[in-house]
Amino acid sequence: MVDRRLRWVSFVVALIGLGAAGYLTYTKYAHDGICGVSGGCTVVQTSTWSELVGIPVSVIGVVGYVAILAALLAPQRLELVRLGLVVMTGIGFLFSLYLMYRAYITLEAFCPFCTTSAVCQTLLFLLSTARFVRGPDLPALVPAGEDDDEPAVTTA
Amino acid sequence: MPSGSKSKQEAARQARLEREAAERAAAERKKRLGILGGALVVVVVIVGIVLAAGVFKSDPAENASKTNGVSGVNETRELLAGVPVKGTVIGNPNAPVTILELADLKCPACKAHQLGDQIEVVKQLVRTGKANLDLRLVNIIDPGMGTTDGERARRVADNLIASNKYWPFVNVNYYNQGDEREEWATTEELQKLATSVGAGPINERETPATRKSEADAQRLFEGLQAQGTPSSYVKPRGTNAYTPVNSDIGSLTSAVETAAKQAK
Repeated sequence: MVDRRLRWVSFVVALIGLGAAGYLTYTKYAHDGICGVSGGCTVVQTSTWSELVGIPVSVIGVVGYVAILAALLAPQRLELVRLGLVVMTGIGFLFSLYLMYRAYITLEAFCPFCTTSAVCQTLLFLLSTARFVRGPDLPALVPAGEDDDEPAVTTA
Repeated sequence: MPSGSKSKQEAARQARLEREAAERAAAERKKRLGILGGALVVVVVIVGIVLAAGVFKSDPAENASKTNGVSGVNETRELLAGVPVKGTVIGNPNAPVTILELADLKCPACKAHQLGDQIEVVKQLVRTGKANLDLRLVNIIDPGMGTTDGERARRVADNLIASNKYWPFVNVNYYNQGDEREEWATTEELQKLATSVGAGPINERETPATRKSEADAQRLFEGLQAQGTPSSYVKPRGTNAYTPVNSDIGSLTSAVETAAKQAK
């Protein structure tokens, strides 16, 4: 049950992150880099660190969140899926950490949506790591029919 | 068999099972932690390689040439070489289409456009005679940032319209643009930029010329309901119909082609 709850919390956090990254992508394309919420968004979104190999980092964020959501929807008993989540969220967490360093220390700018996404990536990494170390819920502890990934297992 | 002995055996079996289960769990956890460690190393290596490769967007101003401490003087000269410059307009004054751009000297997005797509706009649309380019300055950053130097820089630029040094000054300004939150456009800095493009002593005071150009730009900005800067429009020759268009070269090229068909 614990793993199931952690998975759903991860799902909600990933959706929030997707919303933040989606908004940043929208402002990047629709308003040509003008955020409209705070000056910091303009500074951050037009800075050197706003694009990676020519792709806006917010777009990479959207793709990352979609991949995380897809992995969360995949059968969770597969170790590879859980490990994949750790790797994906780990990369997202480290990138967010670097981008937050650039935003707050180098640019001295506050970007609320960038910060929201960074917090989401941090939480997702912690949740994915905890889930991987714990392992899946024991089948006997899952009441029949509650885990939609697995056939129901009941105690004799 | 006596029941006491049986229960002892059962208890011992239970204890053994629990011990074995605990050992299995410990071994499993140890295995998982090992895998986790390996995965984290992979993560750090991937992120490290990407950051070390320096694949983030490069600032074109950083790679520009420097002349007496001013960036982009040579690049500006190259951009405008052989292109007619008259006031706020570059290119053939009788071109079938006019591209209007509304910009702010302190706007970082305008800098990105001016040092990026604008170079192609001049090369592909202005130099070829397909369009001329009218760049008007508005002041939208100062009010939001609590600064005043954007207005000073704009006045200096507008006072250079008559001498046709407006365009080179504006372009060099973007190469040397500072942080939008700071008062970087000081009198000394603006004089340095003006000197670099061959202009004389700057005038940062309000004049009839600056009042007119500011009023014209503001009228266009409000009349066309621009939402920010840079904002681009195309206008067929002989008409007063401005069509909004994205500032990238692809959008501008197709908009110019369409507008050219309506030129009078």
